[in-house]
Amino acid sequence: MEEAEQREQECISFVNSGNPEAALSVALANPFYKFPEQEKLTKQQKKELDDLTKQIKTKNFETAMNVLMAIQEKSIKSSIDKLNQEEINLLMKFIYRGLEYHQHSSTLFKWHAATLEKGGIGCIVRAIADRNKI
Amino acid sequence: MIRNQRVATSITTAAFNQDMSLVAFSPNSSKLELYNSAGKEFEFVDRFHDHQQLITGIDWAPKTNRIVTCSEDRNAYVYEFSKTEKKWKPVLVLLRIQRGATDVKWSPEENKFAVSSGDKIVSVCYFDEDQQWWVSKHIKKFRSTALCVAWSPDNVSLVVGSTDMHVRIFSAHIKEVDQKNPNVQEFGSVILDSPMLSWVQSVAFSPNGEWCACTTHDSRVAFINPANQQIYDSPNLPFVCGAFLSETSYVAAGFDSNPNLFKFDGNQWKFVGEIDTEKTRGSIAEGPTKKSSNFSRSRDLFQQRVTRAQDTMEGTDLKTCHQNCIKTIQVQHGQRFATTGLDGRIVVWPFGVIEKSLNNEIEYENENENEIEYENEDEIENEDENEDEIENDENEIENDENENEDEIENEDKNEIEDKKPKSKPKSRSKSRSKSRSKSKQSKPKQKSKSRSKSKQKSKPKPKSKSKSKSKPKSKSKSKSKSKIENEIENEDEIENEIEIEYENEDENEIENEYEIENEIEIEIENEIENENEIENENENENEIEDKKPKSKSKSKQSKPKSKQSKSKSRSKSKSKSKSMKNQNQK
Repeated sequence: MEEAEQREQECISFVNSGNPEAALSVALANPFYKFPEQEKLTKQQKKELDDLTKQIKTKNFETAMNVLMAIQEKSIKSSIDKLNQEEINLLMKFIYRGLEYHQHSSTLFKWHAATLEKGGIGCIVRAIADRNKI
Repeated sequence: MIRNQRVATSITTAAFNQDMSLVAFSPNSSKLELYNSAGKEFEFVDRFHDHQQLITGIDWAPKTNRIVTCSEDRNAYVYEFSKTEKKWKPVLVLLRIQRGATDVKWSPEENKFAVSSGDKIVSVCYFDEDQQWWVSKHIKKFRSTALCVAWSPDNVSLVVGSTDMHVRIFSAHIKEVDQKNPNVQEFGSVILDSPMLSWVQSVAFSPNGEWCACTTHDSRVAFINPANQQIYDSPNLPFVCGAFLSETSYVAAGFDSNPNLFKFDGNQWKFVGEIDTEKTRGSIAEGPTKKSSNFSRSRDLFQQRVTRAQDTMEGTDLKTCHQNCIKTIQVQHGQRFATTGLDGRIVVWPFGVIEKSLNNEIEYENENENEIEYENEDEIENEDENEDEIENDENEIENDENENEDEIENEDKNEIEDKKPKSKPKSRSKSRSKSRSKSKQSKPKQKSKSRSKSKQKSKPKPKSKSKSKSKPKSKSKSKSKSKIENEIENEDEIENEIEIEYENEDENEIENEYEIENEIEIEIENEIENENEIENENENENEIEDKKPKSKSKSKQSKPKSKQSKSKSRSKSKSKSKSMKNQNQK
């Protein structure tokens, strides 16, 4: 959780300083999937862990959304070019999660088109079929 | 160069024999069909009705010449060819599984085979000499369906991919059959367990057993070594099948209908390119839509049907040889590989095609030379030797072409197809739609006459083709002739696709796919019937009809083509009536 908050603050600082492109790779680094499996957890402990996972994931998601919105349209393509393969997969997953809410869909579609050019259809397949959900 | 022929409506699985002269496949049904692939065209040889439900896996043992098939009816059959009776005899194998089988593979020494199933079980079967039957042993370490199996060359390790998103390598050492080896672990123990991120669609071992490649449903290919693991994220749709062409090259194919080549450069497996490119096909049929990817073209295909209710050929056919998902790849060591797909096509790719399209040579081992060679000089030597081998193969194929030209059967079949469709009964509304489809089919089939003639015209051209030993000359010659061939192939593809689309229209109306297959079956069987009536009795055909199952017979008298409901039993009754006719004629 602390990591997520740290990341959020870093990204906010990047955005405020007028350099949101740099924030993109920070937001996409070390995505959180789940806690390592532990045995002998009581039901309540499991539930707590589940809730915490959800919180962390929503926090990461919000950070990513802020960064995506902050980056200007003309620099979308250049910022995607800097990403490596893993980060592109993650970016596509965040885009699809963002499209679940109807708030920022116009910008997200522009991001989607640009990521599709770089990552190909396989990128979308991974966003859907990958076991690790962001 | 590339052989491309549509053999059925759709092919789920297929297997070739050792020299790729025969192919056994399942046309998305419970029937196993055997075709002769040695000549210029694929010719029907035989059909087996042993399974009750969809055949999901076929494998052909190259040395012992046995076919094993597995099906959703939870059974497997092993077919052996008896030379005395000149026919294939099936032997039932009890797998003892409660769900359908998904894949089957012979072990390298062909004394065992493994069947994966939806019952979370992999069944390894060996032949018990005392009881004279196949015994199965179970591996049960899965959490859900086992999807695919592959043997390592040491005849003991078995890699299995499953829907619980793991790739596991097991020891499948069977005391009764394998040699004793203290190093080998007991049957069913896990040698390697590698978690993946999605369903594992296909697995394959490299020829030396060093690398294991698996393709997963999230468009990834993973190359696994005891030491490390390399994963490649593909920008295309997921791969469903894959095979090693040599120790350092691997081909994967799937929903994109295009085989992709990977090569190992000593450290890492790298994606080289898609094999089915413009260079391999020559000119493409250009149309109003000039989209670049298969995905957008197939989307346009459906869009045209929906919005304009048109089935135009311009720009809507896929750019690749295959028009639908490629389901199987089989390699003939050192020479070529063949792919079959859900579009019903069988395409044979000689290695020379890959070299031409991707400027990349396949470093494969010859039987004479055992060392794997990485240097270019050695590659050139290899190529010259293999060019000689390919020349010999081409001469053989050309001889077969001569034989095929002399046969009248093909032309007769085309003529008969035109006569047939009007005589079909119209008992149900469904059958009415089928009869409509057949009347539509009669029109494009008239084109088949011209097609057969055009093919005959095309034949003299490849005859004159001869590969010279010097490289640049051969490439220029082969390019010009391959262009001509490809143009003719494109025409054939167009005519093939007209047929496809008429059939596809009614597929939407018809619910059960089996009925469509019955149509084709009945047509083929009617062809055989009429040929008998026309007194073109060939001995082969009589033998084929005698082979058809008499054990299931309630012997019926020969029936005229009366109004009956279309069902599988009808096709069977026709086959029995034919056998009765033949016996009467004899």
